[in-house]
Amino acid sequence: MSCIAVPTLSRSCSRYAQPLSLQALRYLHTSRPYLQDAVKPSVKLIATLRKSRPVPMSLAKEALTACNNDMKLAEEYLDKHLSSSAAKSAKLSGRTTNEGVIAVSILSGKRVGMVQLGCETDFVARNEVFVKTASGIASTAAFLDIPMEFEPHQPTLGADPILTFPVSALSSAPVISLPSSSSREEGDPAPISSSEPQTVQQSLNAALGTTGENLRLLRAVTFAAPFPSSKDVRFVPGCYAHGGKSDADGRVGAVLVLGVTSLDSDKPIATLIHGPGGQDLEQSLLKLARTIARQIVGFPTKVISRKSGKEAVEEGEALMDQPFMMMGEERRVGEVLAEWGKERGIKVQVTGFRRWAVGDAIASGTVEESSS
Amino acid sequence: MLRTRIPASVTSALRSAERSRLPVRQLAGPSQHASRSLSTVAARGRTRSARSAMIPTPAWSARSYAAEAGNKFTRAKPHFNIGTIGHVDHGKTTLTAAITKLMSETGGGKFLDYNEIDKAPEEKARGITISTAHVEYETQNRHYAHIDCPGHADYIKNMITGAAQLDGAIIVVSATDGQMPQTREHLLLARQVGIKKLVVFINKVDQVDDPEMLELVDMEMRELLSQYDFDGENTPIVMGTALAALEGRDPERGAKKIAELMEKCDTWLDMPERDLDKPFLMSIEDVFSISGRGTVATGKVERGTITKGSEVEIVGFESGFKTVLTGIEMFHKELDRGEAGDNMGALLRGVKRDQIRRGMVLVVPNSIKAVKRFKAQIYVLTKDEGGRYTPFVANYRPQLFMRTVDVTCQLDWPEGTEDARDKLVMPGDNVEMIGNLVHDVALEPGTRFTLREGGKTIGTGIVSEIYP
Repeated sequence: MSCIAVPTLSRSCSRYAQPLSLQALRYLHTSRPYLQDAVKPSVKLIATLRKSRPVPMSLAKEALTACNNDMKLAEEYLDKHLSSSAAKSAKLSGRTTNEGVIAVSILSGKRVGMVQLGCETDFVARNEVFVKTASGIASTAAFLDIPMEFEPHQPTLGADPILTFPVSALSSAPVISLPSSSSREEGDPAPISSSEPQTVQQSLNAALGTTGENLRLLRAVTFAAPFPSSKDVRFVPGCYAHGGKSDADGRVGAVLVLGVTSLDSDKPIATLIHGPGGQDLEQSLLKLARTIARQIVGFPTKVISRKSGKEAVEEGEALMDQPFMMMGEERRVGEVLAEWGKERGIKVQVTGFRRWAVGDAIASGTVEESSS
Repeated sequence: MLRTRIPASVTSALRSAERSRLPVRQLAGPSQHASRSLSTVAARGRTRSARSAMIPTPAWSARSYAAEAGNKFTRAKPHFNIGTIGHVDHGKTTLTAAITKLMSETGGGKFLDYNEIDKAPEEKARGITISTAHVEYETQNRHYAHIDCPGHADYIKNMITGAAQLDGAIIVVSATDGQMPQTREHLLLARQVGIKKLVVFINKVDQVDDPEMLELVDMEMRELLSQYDFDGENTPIVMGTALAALEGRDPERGAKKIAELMEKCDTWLDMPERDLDKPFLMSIEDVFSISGRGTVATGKVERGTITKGSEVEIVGFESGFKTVLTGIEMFHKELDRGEAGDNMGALLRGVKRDQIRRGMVLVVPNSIKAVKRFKAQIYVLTKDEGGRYTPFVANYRPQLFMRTVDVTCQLDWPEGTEDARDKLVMPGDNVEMIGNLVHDVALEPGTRFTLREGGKTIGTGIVSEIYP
C-alpha cells in the first residue's frame, strides 16, 4: 500500500518543485556543497514534524525525504500514509486487544452512541491520541443512522430500543468529530487531524501507526429518538463513562434510554413537553437519564428488574432494586423513579440499557446483556 | 507473642485491626526481625515477606520454591529492584535476555533466553499482575531483581499494596521509532510509583544509519524526561542493540553497550535507604506508669536506631513535645540501643501517663510531622478481594488504619478535578485523593495505610504528599 502512496505523493510534490529547487540552490551556494544534503531532511525539521504528528522517527524522515523537506507536504504525506497503512495493521492484527477504552457520546439529548476500542496495553489506553480517536468514533456512531439495509427501526416501549451498530458499517463511515459535551483541555498534543474527511477505519489506522499497537473497534451501539417524535411516548437517552479523564470515556460505560409517558391520558407527553415548563421538564429528564446512567455504571448492573432477567440475578445486579445512591437516596431505584414521575405527572420507565466494561468477554458482535 | 508470625497472606490491614484489639500486657519483647531472621531463606522470600502485601496475590503460588533450584542465595551484594518500561515492540525482553547473558558471564546469575523470560503475558491474561523477581542477575557491585511492567494499572496496584516495589527503572526506546505518544504514560508511571531516577536504553541503533537521527532521539528523550520532572540533562542514555548482544555479534554496539548500561545502573540509580539507616521511629502501642521509675511507652520500632539518653519527640494528637529517653527495655532487661524490628519499652523522663496515648509515635526530633490533610494514591478493593461492591463519591468517610492508630478520614478529589461532584470511585480503581483526618497523625510521603468501613477492608493507600 505504501509503495502506491509514495509515487502519487511525489507527483503532488512536483507541483511545488520550482520553489523547492530554488531553496535547494540556496543551500547549495551557502553552506552545503552537495545537492543530496539539501534533500536529506534536517534533524530540526524531523523534530518539528514529530511535534505535530507523533509518528515513528523513521516514518517522519521518510515523509520529509519524499516531500523535499516541505513541512506542509510532509504532514499531508503522513496523514495519507498513516490512514492507508494496511501493511502495519496487518502485521499487528494477530495480537490480542484486552485493554482499551469505552467512549460514549450524546448529541442534543436525542441520540447516543457507545463504542469500545481495544488496544494492547493500558499505557496506550490512557493516551490522548487513542482516547480522542475513540471519542471521535463514539460521536460518529451517535450521529449516524445505521444504514438502511439493516432495516428501519421504530422504538416501542416494550422492546429494547438500543441497536447494535455493525462494526463493519461503522468502519467505513466518515469520522464526525463533534465538540464533546464536557470541556476538554485545548491545545494538547495534536490528535491526528486531517484536512480531508477520514473514515473511521482510516482514523484507526492513523492511531495505530503512531502508537504502534494493534487497535480494534470491538463493538458499538446507538440509539436515536424517533423523528418526528410520538405523541404518547418520549424517549430520553443518557450516558456516562467512568475511569477516564472526562465523563465521556473510561473503563466502564453505560447508555440507557428512558421511555416517558404521561399519567393523564388527556394530556399526552408531547403536550407536556411543548407546554409551559416543558423545557424544564425535558432538561430534568435528561439529567435524570444521566444520573441513572451513573447508577448503572457504578453498580454491577445486569438487568433492569428481577422479573425481566432470565438467569438468576445476584444482589445489586437488578437496577430497580439497587439503592439509588446517585440520587443521594437510600431507597430503591424503582421507588424513587415512581415518585419522581408522580410529582411531575409522568411515568418514567427504563426501556433499555447497555453496560460495558473493558475486559468483558465479548460475544462475537452480537447483542448481549439484552434487557427488558 | 510473635505477632509478626501471622501468615503473610493475612492482610496487614486485618493485622493492624487485630492488634488494636489485642490488649498488650507484656511490657516488651522481641519481635522476629524480618530481615535478620530471613537470611537463610532465598532472595525471593526476602522481598515477599519484608513487604508483606495487603492483598494475597495468587501469583506467588505459581512461583517455584528456591529449594528446587538447589542453591542458596548469598547476601554479599546489596539488592536492587529494577524494572523495564517501554513499548511492546521496542525490545524489553531481548534487552532483559541480553543482560542476563552478559551478567552471567561477568557478574552472576543465570542466563535466561527470550522465551524463558516471556512467560509474563500468560500471567497477565489471567488477571494476575507481574511476577516479581522472576529474573535476577548480578553486576560486580549489586544484585538485581528484574521486574517487567506490562501495564499501568497493574503496576500501580502492586505499588500501593506493597506487593512489588521498584527502586529504579530502565526505559527502553527503539531508535527507529523514537519516543512514542505512550512514552509519556511510561514516564508518568515511573513518577507515580516513586522512582526518582531512570536510565534510558535506546535499542536497535543498528537499524538507523544516520548519527544525527540518534542525536535527535537522545534530545527528544531528554526533553521529555525534564517535562516529567526527571533529571533530563544528566540521565544516562545508552545506545546499543540488545539483539546483537544476545547473539554475540557486533560487540561495539552490543555487549559493550549492555555492560555500559549496567554500569550506569550501578552508579546512577541510588540504593534505597535501609530501614536501619532511616531516622528512628517507634509507633506507640501502649503506655504504662511504673511506680518509682516513671512512664513507659511500648511499641515496635519501625525504622532507625536509638540509644539511651537521646532526645526524642512524641508526635500526634495535637500535642507534640520533646523529652529524653532515659531507658530502653526488652524482656524485662535493660538495653543501651534499640533498632528497627525491636519491640521495646521506652522510659521517658518527666512525662505523665496521660500525656501519651496509643497511636502517637516516638521519633528523633523534627523527623516527621503530624498532619491532618494529605494526598494519597488509593487502591479500592474489589468485591472478590473482600471490598465493597458499590461505588462511592467524594465526602466518603471510612476509618483509616495506620501503624497503631485508627482515625476517621474524609476523602475528597484534589482541587481542580473536573466534574468532582459526580465523579465515582469504583471497586478496582486506582485513584489519587485528598484525605482529611479528624485529628492529626504523624504522616510522611510513603506512609502506607488501610481504609476500613463496617468491619471490611475497602481500600489501601500510600501517602504521596502532606499539607502541614
